[in-house]
Amino acid sequence: MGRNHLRQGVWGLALATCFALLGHQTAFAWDNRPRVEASGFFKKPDFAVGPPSFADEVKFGVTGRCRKDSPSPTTCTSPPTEGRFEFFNTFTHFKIKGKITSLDFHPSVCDPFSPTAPQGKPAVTVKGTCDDGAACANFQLDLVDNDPGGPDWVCNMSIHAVDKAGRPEDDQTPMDPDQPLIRGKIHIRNYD
Amino acid sequence: MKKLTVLLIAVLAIAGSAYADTSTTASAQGTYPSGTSFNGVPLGGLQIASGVITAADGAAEGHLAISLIGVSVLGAPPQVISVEASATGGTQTAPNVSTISGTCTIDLGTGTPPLTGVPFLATITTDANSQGTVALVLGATTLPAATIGDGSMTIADMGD
Repeated sequence: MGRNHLRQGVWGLALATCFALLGHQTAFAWDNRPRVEASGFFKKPDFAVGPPSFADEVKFGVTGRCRKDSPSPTTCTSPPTEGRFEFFNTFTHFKIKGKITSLDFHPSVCDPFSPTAPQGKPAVTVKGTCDDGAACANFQLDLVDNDPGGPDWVCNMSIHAVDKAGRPEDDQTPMDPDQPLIRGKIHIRNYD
Repeated sequence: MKKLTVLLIAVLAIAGSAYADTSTTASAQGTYPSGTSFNGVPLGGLQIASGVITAADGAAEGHLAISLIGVSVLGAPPQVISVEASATGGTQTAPNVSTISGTCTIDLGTGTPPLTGVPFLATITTDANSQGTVALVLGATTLPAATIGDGSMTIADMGD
């Protein structure tokens, strides 16, 4: 057996080892980074809506995690941040979308005066920037995974933006109370 | 040796791209073509929220919350059918097309117990305006694509 044959054999063995290790697992199986996938509907108090609800309804979708090269898997700020968000108020038609620029996984700290707002549950503070022509001065909210025990929550929401159609949204903490989801689910994985 | 190096680089590149995950997010509403119905309920539109990560190997994680809005009759509030879907599989058949599968719970909004463990397939297609269409298969029922007219939907690599 020549030297070249031996070298090729070693390379072949190395590749076969890689395939054996990774070939039968899903991409999620070996990825133990904390991450969030969330979507749902929640109410947003708005007197202009009138009775009986006096509230808008917001639809949202979020994905997020810190990149593998992030110094911390639980806290990251751009660029080692991955994910997207969508936010749509179906009453005012305010809508923004964009890239997640900051994630901070932590135990939830919601309204201390609300008897049902979850405290100490897995949560993530999500910040983002708009990329659809809207002007996002601030997009930030806490997503709380309240399993088991009740609906998931959106806490400490702070949005100060004008969407691309010129519709403004100005939600400053603590003006708007924390809200449970009326539909949907917030999944926070690999973070207890 | 040079050939071997090129082969190794190619294999590593393919392996790397194979693990590029896709994000499918949505917060949108749209309308169904006239004549659309589900379980005997005429449908006028749909509302959807999505936060799903899909891996290149076909696995997926995340959730879709969908409301199927019935047609209002004589000014009465429309029947709303609530679909809560957990994603377990998904593919990206084109840069703007995400197909998500799994099981869902369907609440017909009539006070009857929700249907659980119903297989679902959602095909989300985006256009240049971040809208597009949402096509659903719920159990044995294939609904026509709803045309999104408000809100937004995005299909992108997680890192983009």
